[in-house]
Amino acid sequence: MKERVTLELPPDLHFLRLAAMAGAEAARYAASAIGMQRQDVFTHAVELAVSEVFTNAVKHRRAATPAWHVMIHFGINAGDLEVIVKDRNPHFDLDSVPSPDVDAFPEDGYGLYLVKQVMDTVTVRREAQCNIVTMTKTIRPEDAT
Amino acid sequence: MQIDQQVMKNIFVFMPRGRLDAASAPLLRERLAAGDGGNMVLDFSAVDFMDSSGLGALVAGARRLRAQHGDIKLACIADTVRRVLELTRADRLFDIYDDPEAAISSFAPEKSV
Amino acid sequence: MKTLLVIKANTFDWLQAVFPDRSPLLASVCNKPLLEYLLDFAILCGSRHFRLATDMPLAKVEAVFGGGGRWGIELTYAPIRKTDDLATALQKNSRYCAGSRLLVMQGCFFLHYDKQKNYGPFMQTTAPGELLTCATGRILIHDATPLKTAPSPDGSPPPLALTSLRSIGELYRLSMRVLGRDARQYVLPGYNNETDVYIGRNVMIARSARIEPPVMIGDHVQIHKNAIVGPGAVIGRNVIIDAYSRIHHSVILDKTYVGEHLVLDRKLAGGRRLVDPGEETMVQLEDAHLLSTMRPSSRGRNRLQRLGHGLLAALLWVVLAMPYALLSFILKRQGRWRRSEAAYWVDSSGRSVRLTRVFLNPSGFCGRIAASLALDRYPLLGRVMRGDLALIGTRRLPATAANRAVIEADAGYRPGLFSYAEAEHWPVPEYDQDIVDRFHLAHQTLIYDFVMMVKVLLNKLHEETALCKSISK
Repeated sequence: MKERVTLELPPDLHFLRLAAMAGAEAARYAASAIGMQRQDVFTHAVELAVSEVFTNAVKHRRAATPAWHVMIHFGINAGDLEVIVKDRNPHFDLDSVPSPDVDAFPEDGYGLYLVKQVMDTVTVRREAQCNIVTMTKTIRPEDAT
Repeated sequence: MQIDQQVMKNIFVFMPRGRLDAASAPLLRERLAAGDGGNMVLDFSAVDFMDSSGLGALVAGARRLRAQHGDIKLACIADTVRRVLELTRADRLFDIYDDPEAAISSFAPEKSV
Repeated sequence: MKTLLVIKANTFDWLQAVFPDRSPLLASVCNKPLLEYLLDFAILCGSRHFRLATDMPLAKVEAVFGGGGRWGIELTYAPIRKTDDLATALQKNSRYCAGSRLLVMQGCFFLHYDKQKNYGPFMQTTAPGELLTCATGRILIHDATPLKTAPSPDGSPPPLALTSLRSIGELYRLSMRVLGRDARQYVLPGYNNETDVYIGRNVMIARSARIEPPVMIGDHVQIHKNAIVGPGAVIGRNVIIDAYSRIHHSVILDKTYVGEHLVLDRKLAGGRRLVDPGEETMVQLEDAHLLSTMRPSSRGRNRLQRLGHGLLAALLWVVLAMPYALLSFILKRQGRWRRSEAAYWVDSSGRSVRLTRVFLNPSGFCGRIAASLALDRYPLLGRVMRGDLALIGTRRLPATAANRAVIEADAGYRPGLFSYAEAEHWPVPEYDQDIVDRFHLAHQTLIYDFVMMVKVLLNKLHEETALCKSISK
């Protein structure tokens, strides 16, 4: 059933809400395709993950580089979703990003930690000067309320 | 994002409206830092989404206030906000009420702005 | 009427001490979470709103219970802090508590009631205050509104009692009591066509196995040949009882593998921990094939197996070389083939290697052929030949600290190109595959592995059909 939706957004926080809400809508569509009407946990997870990854893409952008767009691609299946976010920032290695010490209540560093918590899989690879973050989530029956 | 503000029973009550994300977090940080210590209640009834940037602003505000012997309490958090607080275990850091008036009343009378 | 349940983490210290990786809020009696018994009771009292206020993480509970839609109630969640007392918990939920009679349940206990009785009138007419109390909890009525002058119910008040829960022993005895005596008082999970026998979904019972009531069996359970389960057995979800084992008057918790030729009598077992409820002692078993008779694994056999796997991998490498070269080229050009690399643990000694992962879109003619031939695994055949991976084994675990802890705690880790669970195609992928992998690892020989490989490849050929069927259900 795969449907594909692609957004290309300037790496600017003005578009953060648009990106996140597109994630939420893609998730709602994936869930409705298997007849699940209320799936708040699934939808929120995707919205949160997209918000975090897009924010990172904007935050790590080097001002001096030529203009480029963040590409967000949704692969929507019945009951699961693949989200790919592509940016032209310098290389980063997911495994070397430290997890926050939650007991110390840090003021930042939660972004990728949250993404790994809420999404089923998260991978990062480098291709043609781009970071490509791929996330997947499958809806579970108990996510429906 | 808009942050309404009022004072009730000598407690600052802030009511952010909308999403607490990287776009709006700096404004929240600024508003929380503007006070002189004392106590605050953050009424979340008009907040439907919060991510790590919003959480960071909240934690920074709380840390600053508590260093000045004040405190910040939260009220009316949506399930989406609650889940982010739980995932990061930041729910251990805050007293969370389902009614802003109860949050305000929970402050001892002598600890006012 | 509304219900507020206030539970703190410290009331479950006794459970966390023995089973630290199990969520206390989902602690069960007869395969039904304690929380669900309280939900059922609240509904019997006429309450359509239920709030859980706790200092424990709520994600797993929320994943199971959701918003209460399954029970036709509104279920909400409220975080409280470790130091909050009942008064503070009520204040933090003042909006919820206002405006109606409130049933408050506080602490960790089992509530005895009878689903046949109507508790509504009783709850409406009882004076506010403490209703019942025990060492570890209490229930009380809060009411800001004037007492309803409803007609008093006929006869004596309906049966209601509390039992403290302070130890695994008490949990065990409660399970035996509910199973053996009080089952009819509660809504218990499973099909109950025969008296005192409750069987869940997707349960496989070998023809030669025996089930002796009273017995309760959860979902996704396998009971192998000549095993005897019961009397007095509570088997959780995702459990395998291997051949010739006997389970009497015992509780087997979720996700447990019970090996061959074992007798468990008056015990509680979960994962690798075995509790004697009478003596209140606990033993942690080092053999990851929990409680099984040891299968000797000499170095010679390991080398022979590695050789066997390597040879078969080499054969597959040769046979599939042409289809791989052709189809990967076509699919790459179509944008249906992506590679990435990630680190995975390869053994229990802490060694990790970077493995290539291929993401293959199985749509279209070429995609379907490639998926059927499992060509996405082809790049890893070299690793099998080198001995880093088995051809078939347990699920590969990414090299994270959390997985390191899992491997260290459980020596049964032999990552494979394919996992045994894929060969079984059981249980369905979203449930725990690790138990199935562990079962097969306990039984594996070289021939066994070759047979399982054939099953995997046959399953791959039918995979897309099976996936479509599961989605349309």
